[in-house]
Amino acid sequence: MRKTTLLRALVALFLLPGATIAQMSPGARSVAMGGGGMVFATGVDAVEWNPANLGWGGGWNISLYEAGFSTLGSGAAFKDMLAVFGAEAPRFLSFLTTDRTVPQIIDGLPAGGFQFSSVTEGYLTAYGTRQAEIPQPGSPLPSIGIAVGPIGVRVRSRVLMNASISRDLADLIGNGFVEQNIQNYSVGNTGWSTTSFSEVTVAYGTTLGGLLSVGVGGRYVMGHGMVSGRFFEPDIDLNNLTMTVQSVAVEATSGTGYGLDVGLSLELPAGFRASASGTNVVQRMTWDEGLVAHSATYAESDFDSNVDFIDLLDRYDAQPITPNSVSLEVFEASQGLFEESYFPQVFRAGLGWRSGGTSLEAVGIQVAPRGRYTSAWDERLSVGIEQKIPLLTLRAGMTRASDGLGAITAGGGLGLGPVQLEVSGGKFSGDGSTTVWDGYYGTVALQIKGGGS
Amino acid sequence: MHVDVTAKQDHSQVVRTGHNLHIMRKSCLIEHLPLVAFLSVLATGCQQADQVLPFELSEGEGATITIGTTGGTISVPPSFSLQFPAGSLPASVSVGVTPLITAPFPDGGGVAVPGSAYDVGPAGTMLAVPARVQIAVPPALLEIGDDVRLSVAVLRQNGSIAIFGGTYDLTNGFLTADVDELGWMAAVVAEDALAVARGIPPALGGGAVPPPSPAPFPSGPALSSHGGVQFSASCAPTVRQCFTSGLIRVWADDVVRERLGDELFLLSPSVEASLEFLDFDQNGVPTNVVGSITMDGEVRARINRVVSRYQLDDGVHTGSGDTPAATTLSISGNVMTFGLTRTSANFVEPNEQFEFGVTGIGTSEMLTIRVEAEVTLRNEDGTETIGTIVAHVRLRR
Repeated sequence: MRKTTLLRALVALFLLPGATIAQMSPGARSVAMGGGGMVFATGVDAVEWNPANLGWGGGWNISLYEAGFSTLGSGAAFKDMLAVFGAEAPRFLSFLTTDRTVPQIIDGLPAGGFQFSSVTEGYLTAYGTRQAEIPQPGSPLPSIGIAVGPIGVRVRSRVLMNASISRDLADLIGNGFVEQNIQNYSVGNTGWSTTSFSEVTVAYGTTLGGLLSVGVGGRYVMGHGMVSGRFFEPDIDLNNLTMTVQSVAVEATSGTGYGLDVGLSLELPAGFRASASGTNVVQRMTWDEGLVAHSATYAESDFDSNVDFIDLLDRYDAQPITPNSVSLEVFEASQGLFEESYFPQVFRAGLGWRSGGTSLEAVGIQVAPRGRYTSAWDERLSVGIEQKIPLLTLRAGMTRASDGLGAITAGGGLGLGPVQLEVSGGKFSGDGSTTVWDGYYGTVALQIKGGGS
Repeated sequence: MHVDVTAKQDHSQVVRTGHNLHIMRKSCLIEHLPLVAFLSVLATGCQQADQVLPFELSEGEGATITIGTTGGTISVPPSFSLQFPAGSLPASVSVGVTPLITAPFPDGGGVAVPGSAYDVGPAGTMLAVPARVQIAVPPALLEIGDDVRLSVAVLRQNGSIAIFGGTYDLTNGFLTADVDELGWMAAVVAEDALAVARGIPPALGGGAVPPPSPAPFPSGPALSSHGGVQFSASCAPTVRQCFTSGLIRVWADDVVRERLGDELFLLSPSVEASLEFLDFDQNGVPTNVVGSITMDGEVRARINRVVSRYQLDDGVHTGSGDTPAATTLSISGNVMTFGLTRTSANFVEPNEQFEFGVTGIGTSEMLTIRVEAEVTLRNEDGTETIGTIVAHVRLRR
C-alpha cells in the first residue's frame, strides 16, 4: 500500500483538478457560533453577512488575514478516507488515525463509495501548491478587509473542491491492483471539481430612523479557474491481464462575475435585534470558453506501488481544446462544467439578544436551488452564544442542516489592545437517510479594531 | 388628502418625542415597503442561465479539418471522434466527418445502431498506423447481450465491410476501436460472432481416416505417398463467415468464466486449416502428416462495466521449421500424436497430441480436431490458476 504524509494527502485531496461549495460561514466569529453570528456581525464580517449592520456604526477594523478551511465527507469517516489514501497522521493529530484496516474500510463503504468536499483559503492554498510543485489554483488574492464606519471592503479568496470516489476505485487505491479481482474494478462515479476565485465586496449600510438599518453590497468576482474532471472505465488488456485508467479534466482558466447583496437590521426592545439579508440577489458569473484539457493515464502499477499522489497529479498534461477536435472523454468530462456554474442566492434571517458582554443568536439560512457553489451545510439553522470577558471572547454554537447533517463549534478571541486574534473550529457529524457525515472546519483571523462595540 | 397629511404629521410628532417606539417601527417598515418589494422581485428574477459549451453543433452538422503526419483529432461531439496518431497519414489530408442521417449503413457486418453512422472521408484513405475511432452508443439503445458484440464497421473502398472489435465502456457508452481505412463507419452489433459455450466439450470419437482412393496396396510396413488425403477448412469474416459455416465451435471452462464473465463471444474469427495425410500403413492407418491449423479472432468479455477483448492468434503446424513439413503420425483411440509441431509462438513440441473425430458427411468425411489453449491466471495469494479454452475445428475432405 502506498504511503504518503498527511500534509501531502490533504494537499492532494484539496487540489485534485464538480458541484462545488461555499465556506461554512464567513468570519471566525460566526464559525465559532455554529454558523450563526449574523445578527451582531460588525465591521468586515458585516460586509459579507449583512451590510445593514454597517449602518449601526461600530468604529473601524482591519482584517489583516483570515484563513479557514472546511472539509466534509460522506460515505466514510474522514480518518478512514485518509487511510485509504495511505496518509499517516502525525502523533499530535492522532484523532485522524483510524484503528481500522484498509480492507475493513473498503468492506464498510457503501456502493456509491465516498464523497469529499472542501473549502480552503485561496491565497494560502496557492502558496501550498507552489511549495508542493503541483498545479496551482490560479493567483488568488489574500483574504483581507477593512471597514470604516458605514463602509466596508472585503477581499476573500477560496478554493472549492468536491470529489467522489467509487467503492471499486477506493479498493484499487487502498489495496492495489489484484488481477483476481479484475471483475471488481469499476470507476463508476469517480470525478471531482475545483473552483478557485477571489471576491472583492464593497458594502454600505445606513440607518433609517433610529431603529432600522439597511445595507447594500456589490461584489466583483475574479475566477481563477474551474476544473471538472473524471475517471473513465479501465481499459483492460486481457491478453496480458493488465489495466490502464484514463483521467480527463477540463478547465476554464478564468472568469468574471458580480453579485449584489442587500440587508436590513431592526433593533427591537430589550436587547433584541432582528436581521435579514440576501446575498447574490442579483448575480452573474461568466467563465472563459477557451477551455484546456488535462489528461493522464495510469497503469495498475500506479495503484500498486509507492508512487506518490503528487507525482500522479503531475502526470496531467495540458492541451487547449479546439471545437471539432476533442475526444469523447474530453467532451464527457466537460459536461456539467458550466452547469449552474455560478453563485446561488442565499437568504438569511436571524434573531439575536445582547446584554452586556453576552450575545445569543439564532440564524436560519435558505439557499436558492440554482447555482452550484453551495454545499450540504449551507442551508441550515444555527444557534450560537458569545461571552466577552476581559481580554478574551468565548464562543460556541451548533447547527442543524438537512439530511441529518449537524455540527458543534467553539472558538475564542484574544484581544490585546486593538489587536484581536480569533480562532474557531468545529466538527461535522450526522447520520442521514442515505449517508453518514463526517468532517472538520476551522478559521483563524487576525484583525485590528478601533471604536465601536 | 387632508387625512393623509394629518396622519403623517402625527407620526412625525411621535418619532420626535420618542414616546412610542412601536408606532415609529411600523412607520419605517411601511415607508420602505416599496424598497423591500423591489428587492424581492430582484431576488426571484435574476438567476442566470447556464453557459453553453463552445463545441455544440446543430443536428446533422459535420466537421472538416486538416490533419498532418503528426496526427490529430477530428470530432463531431457528442458522438464521434477519430484520433490519428503520428504517422497515420502519409501527408496532410483534409478529413471530413458527416453524420449519416438518411442513408442507411449497408448490411453485412451486423445490425447498425441507429444514429451511429458517419461518413468519414476521404473514403478509401488507408492508414499506415491505425486511427482510434470512438462512437457514443448509449447502453439503453442495446438489447441484452448486444454490448459484448458491439463493434465498429467500416465500409471499405472495395465494398466489403470490415469489423473492428475494440472495447465498450458501459458507464459512458463509448465504443472504441482502431481502424485502418477511412470510409463510412458505424457501430454495429456484429453478426459474425460465435458464442463461447460453457465448460469442456464432449470427447471426440476418433475413427478411421480413409486412405486415398483407390486404396493403396499394402506392401511393407509403410507406403510411400500416393497423393495423400487432404482435409481442410477455411472461414473468414470477408469470405465465408465462420459464424454461418459452422467450421468452429469454442468452449471456455469455469476457471476462465469466473475471471472473465459468463458472456463470451469470439468475434470475427478466421480459421485456416489443412491436414494432408501422406502415408498409410498396411492397415490403412496414416503414418505421416503435413499441414497447419491457424485461428484468430477477438474473444469479447464483459469485465464489470467494460467490454474488453482477448486477441486470439493461435496456430500450429507440422514440423519444426518456419513452414509446414511432413512429420510422423501415430493414432491411438481418439488421439493423434504428431511427431513434431511448431506453434505460432515458435515453440517446437515433440509428440503433440490432438483429440480427433471422423464422421461421414454424405459421400465424404469430416475430421474434427480439438485445439486447446491454456490461460494462466494470477491469484491474489500469488498462485496461478490455469484456465482452458477449447476449439473444435471441422475440416472437410
